[in-house]
Amino acid sequence: MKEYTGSDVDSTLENEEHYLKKELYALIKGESLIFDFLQEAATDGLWFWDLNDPDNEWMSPKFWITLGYDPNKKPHKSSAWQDIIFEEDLKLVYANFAKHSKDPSYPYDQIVRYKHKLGHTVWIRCRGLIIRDENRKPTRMLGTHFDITKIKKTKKRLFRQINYFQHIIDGTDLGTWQWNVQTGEIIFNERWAEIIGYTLTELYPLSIDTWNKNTHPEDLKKSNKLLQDHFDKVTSVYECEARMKHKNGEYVWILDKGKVVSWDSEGKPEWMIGSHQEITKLKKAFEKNRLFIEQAPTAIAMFDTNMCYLATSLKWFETYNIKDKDIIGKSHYDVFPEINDKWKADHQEGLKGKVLKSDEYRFERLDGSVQWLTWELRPWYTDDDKIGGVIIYTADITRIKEVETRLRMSEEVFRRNFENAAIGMAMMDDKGGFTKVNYQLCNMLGYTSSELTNMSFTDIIHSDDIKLSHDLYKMHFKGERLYSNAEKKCIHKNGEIVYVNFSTSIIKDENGAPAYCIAQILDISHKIVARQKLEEAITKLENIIDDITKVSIIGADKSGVITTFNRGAENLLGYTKEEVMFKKPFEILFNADELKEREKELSILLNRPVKGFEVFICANEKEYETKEWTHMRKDGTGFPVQLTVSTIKENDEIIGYLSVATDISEIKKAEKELKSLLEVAEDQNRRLKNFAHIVSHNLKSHSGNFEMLLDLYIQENPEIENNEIMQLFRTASKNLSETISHLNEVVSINTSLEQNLVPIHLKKAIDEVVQSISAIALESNVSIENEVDTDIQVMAIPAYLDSILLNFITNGIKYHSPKRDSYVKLRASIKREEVELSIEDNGLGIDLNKHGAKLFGMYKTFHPNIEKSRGIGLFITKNQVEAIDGRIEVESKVDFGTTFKIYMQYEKN
Amino acid sequence: MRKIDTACIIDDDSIYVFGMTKIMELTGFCNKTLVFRNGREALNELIAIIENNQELPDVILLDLNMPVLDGWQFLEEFMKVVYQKKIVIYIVSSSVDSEDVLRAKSYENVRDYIVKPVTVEKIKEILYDFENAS
Repeated sequence: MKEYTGSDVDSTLENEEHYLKKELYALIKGESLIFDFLQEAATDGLWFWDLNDPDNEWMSPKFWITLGYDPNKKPHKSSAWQDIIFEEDLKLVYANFAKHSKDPSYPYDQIVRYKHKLGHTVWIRCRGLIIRDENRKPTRMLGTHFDITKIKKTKKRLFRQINYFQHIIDGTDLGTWQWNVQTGEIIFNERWAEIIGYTLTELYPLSIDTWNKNTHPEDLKKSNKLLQDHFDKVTSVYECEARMKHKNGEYVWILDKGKVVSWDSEGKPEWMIGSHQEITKLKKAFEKNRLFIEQAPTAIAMFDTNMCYLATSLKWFETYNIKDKDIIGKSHYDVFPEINDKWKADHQEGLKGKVLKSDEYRFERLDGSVQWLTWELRPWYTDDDKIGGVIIYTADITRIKEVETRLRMSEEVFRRNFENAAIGMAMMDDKGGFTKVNYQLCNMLGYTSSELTNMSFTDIIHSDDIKLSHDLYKMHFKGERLYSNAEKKCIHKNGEIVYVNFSTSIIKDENGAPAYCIAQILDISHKIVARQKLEEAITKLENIIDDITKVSIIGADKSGVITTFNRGAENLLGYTKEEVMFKKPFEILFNADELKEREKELSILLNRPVKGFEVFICANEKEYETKEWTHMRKDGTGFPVQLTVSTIKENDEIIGYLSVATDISEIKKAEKELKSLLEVAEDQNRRLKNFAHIVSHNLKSHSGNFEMLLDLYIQENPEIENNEIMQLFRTASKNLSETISHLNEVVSINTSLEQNLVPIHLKKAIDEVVQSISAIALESNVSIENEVDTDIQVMAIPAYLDSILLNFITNGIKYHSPKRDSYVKLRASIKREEVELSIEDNGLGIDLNKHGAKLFGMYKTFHPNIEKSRGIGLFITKNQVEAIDGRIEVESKVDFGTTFKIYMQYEKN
Repeated sequence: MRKIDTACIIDDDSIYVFGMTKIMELTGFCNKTLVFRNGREALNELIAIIENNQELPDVILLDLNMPVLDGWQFLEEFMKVVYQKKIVIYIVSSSVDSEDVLRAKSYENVRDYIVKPVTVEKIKEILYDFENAS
């Protein structure tokens, strides 16, 4: 801050620069803060005051011009303006000056009035700033003037205008309000208070709280939101329906409307004016509608004139599957963007007063689904008979539509079925008259459709059947039977009888009462003819049954009482027909013990008690059962029979049983004989086995001991080894052991019959045997030729085949003729299912005439001259061949040679 | 080389037993011979030996066909007896039934099946086997 020392400048001189002006200019140049202050505030005058010498004050020319004076004629003295300022305002000036000089943060800012030179008042906003020296002592003060007279005047004019409107409004029953949103200043008219039962004075002091306190909290919330929308310029007009508490405690409905009329420089609302209109009556009427609509069990919605929702029923949400539960106030077209222009046009018609409806409306939803609706649209009126909007009533008939479609389809199906059925069909009324017939029925009876529809079923049914049919038909229409099915005789137009299967079913109406009857008529003439033929055949058969005398044919009914008894039965059992038929139970003709036995058996098998006659029939899962029984004669004796019991059915229903019994005494006798023979054979076999065991074990151990002791004896007494008797002893002992071992072999063949046969390559098997005896062959100078094909296989037991081959080949070697070059030739060929192996030699030959029968006997030798012959070989071989299911043939000529042919099973692979 | 100290013959055939002991003497088969007439007698005696901690035989020659307790029954019973020594058992029988042979082979502690009559050569073979067995 600059220091001011000069106080000697003459302030009265006009031409010279006033010291304060100079100082101020310097100040402005040096201090941007001061400059800013001036820029902002000093539009209508500037003053600069020397506080050290308070008489001196510099005032800008504009200062005086604003107040109507010539600046040149006014001295730069503080007294100059103090003369023309309003006295009360001067007091304010001093007071503010004192505060500001004490506390710089207190603003020196006030509105003061000056008397204009012309006499009127000038409103000046006067603001000032004290400038202090380094000791914070005030030295100067800078001030500005801003003329606000014009603003003041405008405001005053506005209020006058408002007052003017106020008078008009007062005449309209509207409550009005004016509200300074920023200061909270509020003005209501008398009517505003009257609406809620007060006088204005009763409500004093007025403030926004007067509104807040008397308004229903819910509606206040709504109102505040709507106000904010208006302040944010979302809505051009604020409008809200709200409940306010009347003095009498009840709520009254008001329509609150308003508009911001002035905005401040920052765009914030300042003054807002509005009105209150009481709408309680309207509201109550609407409320009633709304409640009614909300509770309605159908889909109803109430709209205002803008097609915005006022009320909806719950069903409305349900029908249209509306997720947003808060649709009140929203536009119908926002809720259903899928509504088309046609419908919108209908709404407009409704709003003009038309009533519109549609019974079947296809509503395609956004998601592509289709709803079938019926709807009705009608305007609703306010108390003063104005259209308040529309009410739309709708019903979802999608399901009804579907059912309808299905019904139509099933009717179509039925109609086609009826017309094109392969059997005759007719619809009949309660009197039995044909109302509709199909082609097949006409065809069957020889009438035309129009002829038949003039007839009733009594006209076509044969008199034999008419009574029953009539009664049955009555029962149908009394509701006692729903359907019936019977064979009937009908009469063709040409008089012939037509056999039919006549099925009727009753069709009930929606009340469950019989409405009409549907008949299906199937021509079964051919079946009936067949059945008649069958019956004739049966009659014939019955005669035949009677003629059979060796077989008992007995019929029984379902309970087991004899119903048929043929001559054969009379013969075999000794009863007469008259004695048993329809008198005796079937089971007395059978052995009581066997019956009991069978009862037990079946009870276990079927897991339930089975008694008496049941034993003959209960196992009848098939149509018949055959079993052996003992038939009992009248005299108490019995004989075995083969008994077959068949089920007799009629129309798939068992009506009885027919038993056929054949005497099997002879067969039984033969069976018994066979059995005893078998027992003998088995017994012999068993004994043979025992014998085999004795041979195999006991005999063998004795001979073994013999041999062992002899060996020991000779070892202990070596000197007797050459004793002739001792040598014979040894030979005898050895022969005994050998014999026993042969016997053992024979026994073991018989016991190993059950062994499985395996496929064996014949050539290979022969080669192996030949190999093992090549030494003997060489010694005897016999050539062995194996000419068997490599791929021939036989089924055999390997050990047996080896033994067989060995035996025949060694035989061939043994009995070779020294007179010529000897050979043994083996060949094989396949004959049917067998392999024929021929073993040919050119040896001594056998006299088959002499020895043929004994050739394969045990201990038979035919060549006494040859030492090695033991006679056991062929016996064992034959047994072994037979054990593998083969056989042997032999051809031989003495001194020419022998050929053995062995037939064995052939293995195909 | 192990030596057979005690050989045991279980057989009801006295001629065979006589012959066997003779052959054993001749071949120097063993030092001592135990002879039992049937399976039961053998079983009782052998168990007594085990209980008294006496020496068990090294080799048993077992007949099949015996009274009281036959060879198979003896084998079954003797298998249940707990003893430390390794005893070699031979079945010696007149039976050439292949079933018997197969059955004998199914016993782990039966070394071989010998068909009577037993010869000096066979006994020598057994001795050789024993001496050379590890």
